[in-house]
Amino acid sequence: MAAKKVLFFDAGPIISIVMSRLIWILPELKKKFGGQFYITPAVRRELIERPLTIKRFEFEALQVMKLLREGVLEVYAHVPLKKVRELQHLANTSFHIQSQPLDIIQTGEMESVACALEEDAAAVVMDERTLRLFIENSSEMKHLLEGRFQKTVTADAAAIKKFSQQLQGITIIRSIELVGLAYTLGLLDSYIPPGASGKEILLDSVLWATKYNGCAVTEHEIEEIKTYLLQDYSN
Amino acid sequence: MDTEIKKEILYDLHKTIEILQVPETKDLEELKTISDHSIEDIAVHKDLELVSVTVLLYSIYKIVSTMQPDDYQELLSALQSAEKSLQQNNLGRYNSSLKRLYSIVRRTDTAVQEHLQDVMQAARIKKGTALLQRGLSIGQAAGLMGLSNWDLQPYAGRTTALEQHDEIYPAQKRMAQARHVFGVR
Repeated sequence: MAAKKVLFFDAGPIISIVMSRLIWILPELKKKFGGQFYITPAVRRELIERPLTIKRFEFEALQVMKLLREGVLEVYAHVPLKKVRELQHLANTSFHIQSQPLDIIQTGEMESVACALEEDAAAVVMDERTLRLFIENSSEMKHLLEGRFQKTVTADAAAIKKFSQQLQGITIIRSIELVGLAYTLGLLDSYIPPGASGKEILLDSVLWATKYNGCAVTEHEIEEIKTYLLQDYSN
Repeated sequence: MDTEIKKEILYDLHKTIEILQVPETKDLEELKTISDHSIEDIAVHKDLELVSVTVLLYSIYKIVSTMQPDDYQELLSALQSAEKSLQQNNLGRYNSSLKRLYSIVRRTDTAVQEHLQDVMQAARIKKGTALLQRGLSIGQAAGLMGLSNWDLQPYAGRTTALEQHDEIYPAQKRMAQARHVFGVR
């Protein structure tokens, strides 16, 4: 069965895009997608209510609020709380340090994933490295934690397996891929500077802006994406 | 207060007092090391008392070189009082000492006062980033440090830990998948 024309956005990619001054690409991408862009109530709190109380991010909150008002983003009200708790419990009991479970994921972050499962969504848009790595490659997650803590990290193989099984097949898109799509669709064409390497300069600037505003993407990946998009676009 | 946390805080306070009693420029770096030392315990125990002390010690590290001698002595005395109160399990007095320490940091000098928000905020962001490096999610790390995701997110894309893990899917495959989802040929 084909996935529904629905995307669930975590807070991260919207923060990356707003802070990269690229929020205007979202309505255009939605038109191309032809479906719904959802956020959960917890994501709404992080994107609007919270920054409205911080002078530095108040205007960013208003920009997201505008997207909601215009219907580009919609709040998904039917969060499957039981599923969220179950996934949350599995994730936060998968790794232990000195017999203490390591809480690595917050409830709000799990909401988008649980909703995407519930709705059979086409994808989850997420910049957060920890949850993404856990969903896509849990053995690498253990490796990462082991490398970063001086204390011994033990993994609960059964919990990890159960978590992975539930989230198998879920598609994750990052903000950097949304920016790549905007480039492919020609939305960024008016920014191409004159000269033979204009497109390359544009790609460098927007991809690095997205990384520096929070998208978990490595330098190597940026080069890969750039090569892919430049080849593709010149064909 | 949890025994392990108490032990950790006492260790941090004691080392800070030792360093500040015989001030030497090179020792200031040790002050930074102390606030780094407890980050793993914060990641594991999620203890806000420890967060508070860690942020305070990092803020002291940032401003100590600009302190007036009187403030410096008062700071040292408040640290000693905090250590003693905690040793005696007098949490009321311990909390008062911490409040005093925060207030000393606040009024250290005009320049610091002017940038107070920055000193404390920078300390929280610094420690939040250290939690991201340990593999905690942005939401977890920001929540523990009393920050919003907006504060911490720009640092998430820059952690060196990011470059030290292997992605299961090549970036080009991700890009192709995104195009498929959006129906872009």
